Amino acid sequence: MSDPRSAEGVEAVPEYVVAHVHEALTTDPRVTEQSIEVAAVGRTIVLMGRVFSRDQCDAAALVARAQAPGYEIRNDLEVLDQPTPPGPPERLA
Amino acid sequence: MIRIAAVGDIHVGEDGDDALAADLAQLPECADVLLLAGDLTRHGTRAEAVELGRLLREVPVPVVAVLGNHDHHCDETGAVVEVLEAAGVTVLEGGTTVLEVDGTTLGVAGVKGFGGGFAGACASDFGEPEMKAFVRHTKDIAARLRTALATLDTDHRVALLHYSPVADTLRGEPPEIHPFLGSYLLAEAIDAAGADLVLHGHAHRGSERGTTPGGVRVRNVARPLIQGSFSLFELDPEVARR
Repeated sequence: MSDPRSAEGVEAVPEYVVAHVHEALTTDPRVTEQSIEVAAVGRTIVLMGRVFSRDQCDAAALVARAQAPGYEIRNDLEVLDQPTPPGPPERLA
Repeated sequence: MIRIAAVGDIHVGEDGDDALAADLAQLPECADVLLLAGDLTRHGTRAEAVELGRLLREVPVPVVAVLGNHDHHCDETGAVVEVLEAAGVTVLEGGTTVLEVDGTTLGVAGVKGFGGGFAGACASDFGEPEMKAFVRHTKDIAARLRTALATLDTDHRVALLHYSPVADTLRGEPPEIHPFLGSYLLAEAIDAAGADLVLHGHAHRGSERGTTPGGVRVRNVARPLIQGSFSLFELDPEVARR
């Protein structure tokens, strides 16, 4: 963990950076996605999970970058823009 | 045999969703009704609802929906419901609707649901006003769900929710956020009144199948989880209540 008394301040503590990125991904209208998993690996913020479009995926990286200055952003989000056909029906008997 | 197509968390924005529209246009071949388990829009605006209504108006089977937390975000739920109902969608919040398919009746009781958590790790109606309001919101919704299900005198009964009534279908989600994904109070209401099937969304990283403590099947149909435009269920007439 970074020393919160360092020049970077408490905002640079990875746990808080992750929390702020997650909050921004939930509330930013370009993303609005609560279920994106955010992790700090060293000085890299990793985004994981599924979003609905390429635009949403790209916006997630921009939002994360704005919230995590000094961190690299690794965008591992999966885009669900090509729905698969439904599987066979589940028969409930 | 009643055939149900169900999906939640479709999150339609102002740019619509052509892929979803194309899949839903095929529904009469495989389903008699479409049930939508909340989070129909991205932010709950009237403009998004207009696009959603344009899409759902073309669905060639009856459409029944509940709203989700996203649909509440911009505090325009009145407008969202108005637009959807004008498009022919039945929007439930503590209410019921009955459909008949080839002489068999399907009753749907719908609520948004809310959070609170599950046995052993849940919020209590105690302490600060904010905490009590949180838990009482879930209690109120659970009570309305129980009453709604109990009023249905149909061959089949389905509970349609956004939030989950069980932890089973949250497997895959971090346990720390389970209290924000559902509540045992919803399952308790369902088990008290009885149902053949519970459908919900909200938990994008959860699991598809679970059961209430009373044995009612629970299915998570969140679109990011099922990775398709809908899941299909067939209710066997052998399990009809009468």
